[in-house]
Amino acid sequence: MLKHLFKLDFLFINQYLPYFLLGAVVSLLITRLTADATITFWIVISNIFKNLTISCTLSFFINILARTVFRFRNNFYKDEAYLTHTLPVAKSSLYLSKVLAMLASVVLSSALLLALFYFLFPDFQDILKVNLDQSLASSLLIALIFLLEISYFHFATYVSILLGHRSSTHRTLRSVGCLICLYSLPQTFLLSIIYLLSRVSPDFSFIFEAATPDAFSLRSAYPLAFLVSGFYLLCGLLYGYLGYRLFRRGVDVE
Amino acid sequence: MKKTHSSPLLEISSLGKTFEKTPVLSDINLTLESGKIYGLLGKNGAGKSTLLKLINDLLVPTTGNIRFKGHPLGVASKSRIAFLPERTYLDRQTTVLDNLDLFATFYSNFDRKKAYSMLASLDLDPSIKLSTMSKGMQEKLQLVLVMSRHADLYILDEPLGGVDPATRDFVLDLILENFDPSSSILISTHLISDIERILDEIIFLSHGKITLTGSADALRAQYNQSIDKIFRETFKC
Repeated sequence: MLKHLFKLDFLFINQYLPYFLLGAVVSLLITRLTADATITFWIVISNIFKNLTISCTLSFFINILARTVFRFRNNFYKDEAYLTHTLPVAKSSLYLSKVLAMLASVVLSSALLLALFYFLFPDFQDILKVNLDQSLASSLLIALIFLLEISYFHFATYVSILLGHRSSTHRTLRSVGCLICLYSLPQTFLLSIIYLLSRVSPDFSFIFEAATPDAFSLRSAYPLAFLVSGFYLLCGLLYGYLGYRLFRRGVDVE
Repeated sequence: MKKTHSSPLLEISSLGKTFEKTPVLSDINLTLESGKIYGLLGKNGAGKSTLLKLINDLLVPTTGNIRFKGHPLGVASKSRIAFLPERTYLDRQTTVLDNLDLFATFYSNFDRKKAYSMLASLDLDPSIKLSTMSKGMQEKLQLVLVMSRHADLYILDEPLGGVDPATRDFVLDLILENFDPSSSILISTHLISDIERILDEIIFLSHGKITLTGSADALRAQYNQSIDKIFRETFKC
């Protein structure tokens, strides 16, 4: 049953992915074709499409976030919940399907974007090489941190919805309030730890001392990257488990 | 889930539900047996839908518990209970056929032949998209999906609520024709005169409490009037 649920959730989340992908391909191609333009008109066009490319890239992840949250809330609390909760499926499968569909969508979108940039924008490879100390491990670490933070944010959103909907009034408002706390408090805690470490360890001191982005080298930031990725992983696991426990206790549909 | 002779079909004990310190249901004790049609009758806001939601695991009880064939609610009970809520819950971007596939995938007791036969009697084209259907037609589709399951207990929340008076008898006949006599139906409604003819047992609910239960025939004999009249007198403002 988990397979069927996952299919439904994954298809719903990625329903508009082909359109975003098409938009990204078109804008990237035009950006690439007009990259060496010398005529003002084409320079303007190039800049417009550069921004459009960034928008398309962001929309991949905004789309996932919006649709996973929408799916989670509607499937578990709104009209659709009358079908979801009466299906002969274990509660754990209902929750796990949402989590797996979200993770798969994030990984798929990230992979598609990286592939797009790599094949359609050769300069991007040079940028990566310069900025990431010419190391594949560095690029993977960056991607890992990115994926972990997005996943952690999604898990925080799920827990917020579950906590906010325990009350029968102002459910959306309470969910937003919970999300602000669940996301910002651990981030503040992490920043405090990094600041304290920077006082005692040279591995962390550069982050509060570097004056320009050029001074930032990922290789020198490995300890920081491992700390951050470990922290996001821990928070993600914690929120994922908390969400599961809350969901297992049952929900009150509207 | 094996049915045991000692366990009733559905057993509700000391059930209560409170929303933000406001009790909506309190101390509900009820037992449903197989092979009967139960009418859950009460005014708007009496707690009928809340009770049905609790039976279908859509709400968490504040107190008490519900057991289906002697077991707590769970995957097994959900596969044997067919619930028709008063809301339309199907995805409007899907077709009738998509929903038949969905039910066939998740419910092993879904009878596709029966569904097609009911769709034909309702003049519903399986290829039609739900977004092009009226709310009434979507409700009929939901009724078809629910009644196409070979369930032990059918729970119908206001099945006549969105149906015009001319179609009510047709819908009731559809329910009666497609339900296995060995199973039970629990119908919630305030349109008692329309439904009275099919009820075996009556449950009156008022202000979150069960005020009267009994067999329909016994109540008619005791009060010497129809269930509809008894309801009107019991609940008159």
